[in-house]
Amino acid sequence: MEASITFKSVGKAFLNNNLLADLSFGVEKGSTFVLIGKNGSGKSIILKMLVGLISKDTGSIYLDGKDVETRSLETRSLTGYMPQYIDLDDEISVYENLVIHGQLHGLTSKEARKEILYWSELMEFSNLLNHRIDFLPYGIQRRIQFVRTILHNPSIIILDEPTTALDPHSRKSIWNVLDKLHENHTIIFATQNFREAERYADRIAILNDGNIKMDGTLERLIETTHGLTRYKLIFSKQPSEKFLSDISKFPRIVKAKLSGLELEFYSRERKQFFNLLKIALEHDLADLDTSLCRLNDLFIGLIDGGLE
Amino acid sequence: MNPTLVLLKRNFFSIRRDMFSNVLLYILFPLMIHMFILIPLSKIIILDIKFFIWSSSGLLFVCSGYLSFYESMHRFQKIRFETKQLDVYMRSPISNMHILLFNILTGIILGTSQLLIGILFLIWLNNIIFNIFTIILLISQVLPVIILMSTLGTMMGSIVQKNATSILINILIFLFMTFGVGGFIPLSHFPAMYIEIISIIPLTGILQNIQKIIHNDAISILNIFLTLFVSVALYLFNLVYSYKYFKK
Repeated sequence: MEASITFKSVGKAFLNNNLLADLSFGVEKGSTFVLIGKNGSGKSIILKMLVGLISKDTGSIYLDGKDVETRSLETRSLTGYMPQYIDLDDEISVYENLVIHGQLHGLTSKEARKEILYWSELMEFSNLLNHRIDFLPYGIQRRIQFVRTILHNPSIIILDEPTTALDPHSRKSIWNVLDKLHENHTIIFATQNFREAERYADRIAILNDGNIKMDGTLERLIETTHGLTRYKLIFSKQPSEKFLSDISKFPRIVKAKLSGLELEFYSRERKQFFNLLKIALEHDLADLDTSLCRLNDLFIGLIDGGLE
Repeated sequence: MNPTLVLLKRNFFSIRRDMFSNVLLYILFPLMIHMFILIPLSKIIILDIKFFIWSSSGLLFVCSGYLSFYESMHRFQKIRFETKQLDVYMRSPISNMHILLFNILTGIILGTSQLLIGILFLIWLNNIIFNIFTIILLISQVLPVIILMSTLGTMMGSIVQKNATSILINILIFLFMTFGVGGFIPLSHFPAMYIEIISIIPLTGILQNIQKIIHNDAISILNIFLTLFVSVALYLFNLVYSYKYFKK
């Protein structure tokens, strides 16, 4: 399948810190790709590199086969970028913000107007078009920013934590639109919301220490855990020291962690769990929860140096 | 639509919102200079001709030149360091050349508006009658100053981040334009060595040209070309700087 975004051995250092080291990956045309990673892992830098706001130190980046450094004007016209902070122009109205952005991306005044009316209606801010930005609530400002991102119908949509701090309604409106655009647009986004990553991305990349540590479809990533299950035991009283030392004797129980009255651990052997449960029942066990490993578990495990 | 025109349209939207306060400031600026600088100086400086007539060239020079510097510096500083609009423009398919040009043009347009208001102010206050030809000659002389100051302002706005530094630069530029080139205080009041140095600067020549136009004397056009040449050099420097430092 044809690649829409290609990173080839990209490196970026800042203040003697390697933010990205020899990073290579590709995103197929028409697919949705998500970057997840802890704060400062370089997700935003990767997205900013795509739109030419940050330059790389080494390697090459291509959008639809065009180098973002040498053919930057062409590549910028392919992209729509939504940063994680509000960057709307607060000196002019909502409509003026959108029309200026549309025209900078080659739309005529008439085309821009048509698009603005359509999208503002869909995203429920058409009654606010003549308002100034700084008087609007955060959720509406984000929706306006989102419309600005897609207004000129870019083939590559780049979103940096698009739904962070948004109410469920605003989140849903954004994802509904992205679901529709998904078929003929390449979407790359960064998020800390693993449910959104699982639900909407065709491919997930987990970023750590300046490089992609895991990359694939959700099913493929989950497969790598080979049926590892997450268990949670909830006690009504603080379990004794003896109980905690007993747990460490179970060889197939991994990453056991007690926080408050909750004990979390991973295992792929049911028998081990049942044995542990027997002991736990003697220590005021109140409730339990089991689930197969999800993205969240994979991520936490990876950041902590692996699940096993 | 040309990207520079689109960005100018953006500035028009922004200025339109505060049109009343802007026009008021443009009227107040020459008025304040007249009241707080020219009236006191007129009591001290004795010239062959009426002081207010002689200093009217300085008034046009300072008001329009300084205003274009201030506007372009302030506006660029704001989009680069405060509102981050520069990032928004830089991820659009437009070049740095367009971004710098739109800011310089904004300074030029506002400086020229101030020049026209200044001319009306002089007609009203000093009863100086300018015919159309004189006004065209005046604009042809002041325009290069406005272009230079707007280019300089854009350059400063793209480099200077700190507010305190920016205020200091503005004070220095204002003092230099007001008192340093012979607009309000005749150069004969300065030490000979300073006069020698300051006479080399094309801005001084342009100011003398404006004085000559008001007095119906012959002018030289060399300074216009020198000023425009310096403006182009500053613009090119700013362009190189922008390609090196606007990206992180």
